Amino acid sequence: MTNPGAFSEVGNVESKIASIDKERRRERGKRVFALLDELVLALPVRPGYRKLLQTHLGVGKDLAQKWPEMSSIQLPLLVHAAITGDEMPALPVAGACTLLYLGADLFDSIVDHELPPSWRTRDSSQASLAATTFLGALPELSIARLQEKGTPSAKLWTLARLFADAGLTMGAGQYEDLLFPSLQNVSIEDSRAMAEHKSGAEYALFATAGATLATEDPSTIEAYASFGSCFGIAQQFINDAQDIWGDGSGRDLLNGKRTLPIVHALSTLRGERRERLQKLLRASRESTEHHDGVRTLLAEAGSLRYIVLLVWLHQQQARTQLASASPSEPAGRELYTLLDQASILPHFRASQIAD
Amino acid sequence: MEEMEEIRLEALKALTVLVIHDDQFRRQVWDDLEGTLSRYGFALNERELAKVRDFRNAIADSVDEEVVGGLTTSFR
Repeated sequence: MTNPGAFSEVGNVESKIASIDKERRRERGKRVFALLDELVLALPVRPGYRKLLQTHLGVGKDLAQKWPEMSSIQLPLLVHAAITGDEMPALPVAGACTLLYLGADLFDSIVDHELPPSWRTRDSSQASLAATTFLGALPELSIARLQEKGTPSAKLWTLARLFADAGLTMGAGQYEDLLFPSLQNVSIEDSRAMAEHKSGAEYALFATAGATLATEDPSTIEAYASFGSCFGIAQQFINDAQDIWGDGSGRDLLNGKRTLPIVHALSTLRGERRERLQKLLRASRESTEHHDGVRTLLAEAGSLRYIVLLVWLHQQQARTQLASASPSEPAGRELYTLLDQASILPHFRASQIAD
Repeated sequence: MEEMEEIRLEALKALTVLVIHDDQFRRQVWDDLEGTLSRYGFALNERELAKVRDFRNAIADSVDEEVVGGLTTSFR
């Protein structure tokens, strides 16, 4: 006979583990931002310019508080620990990844006209300058901290090259994101490729940077790169769905973005319904009152379920790639947990998000 | 431990390609999962098939409102 008490005990243990994991993630965030605070404080620049950079570090800290899973912090540290058993040596790498992430995020906010509150009192050219500095100069300065710890020059160069390659691919993805609204036909494959360039490359960098510092083994590095890429693509699709159906939704519709749910619906609907969707998409750029009409047609096209399926397929690929890297514990378990949370279906995620 | 539970990468990649490129596959796979996989030449083992079936059933059991409810509590 089943003992109901046993289920509640298992539930309690899972809840405790989730709570410990969350605390660990917050601690990692604090350590990374302490390093970045110190880095910016040591820069030989005018106080006003430093203040500009500190403003965006503050945005990042708030974000890491609300979202302790922040991948630019967790992935490099956990991947390094999954290979060597120690996450601390990867702190400057996680710092570099976080600077790149914050720069790309600020750039996105400028393009989408949705700057965080602390930037709204400043001129947007100052935000552009900060984004450029976060993307172009600060990651290398964080990587340079590894030199003080005796990391060989060849490895530093490999890491610098990784950041340059990822930055270029992410730029190409951003360009596609800007270009697609002006095109007549964007295919599902185009949309998936954009997600791969934009977010797949970013997450692949986060995982690869940790792995590159930890090992020389190319097959291990490649497995973590593929894990990161699939994880990032899944996360991009979740963000696309969240923008249309989730909290604070609709920015992509207002900006005329051709995200995957929209592209899927345009590829699926025919005749009058397709024309109606196109009309509503044009109107949605002017006002949110047309957004519900778009959502209705997307539901008729089965676009949300399609996104759920593609998220699941990429999440499963990431799991398989992670398994092939044989991550050591406890970092391996934490990486699987982070990945499992990247699901849209509530009951697939419910057991993972206990805190 | 986790390694034994995964679906083979080749199968996942092939499924992803079909889901992206093949409109017919997309439609048929919801209505007849095992028949469609078999017609397209997939030879998943029992464990892999069970995983795909679990996911398909989870989607079938969720109405869109539930999925949307999940999105409002999702994270970036």
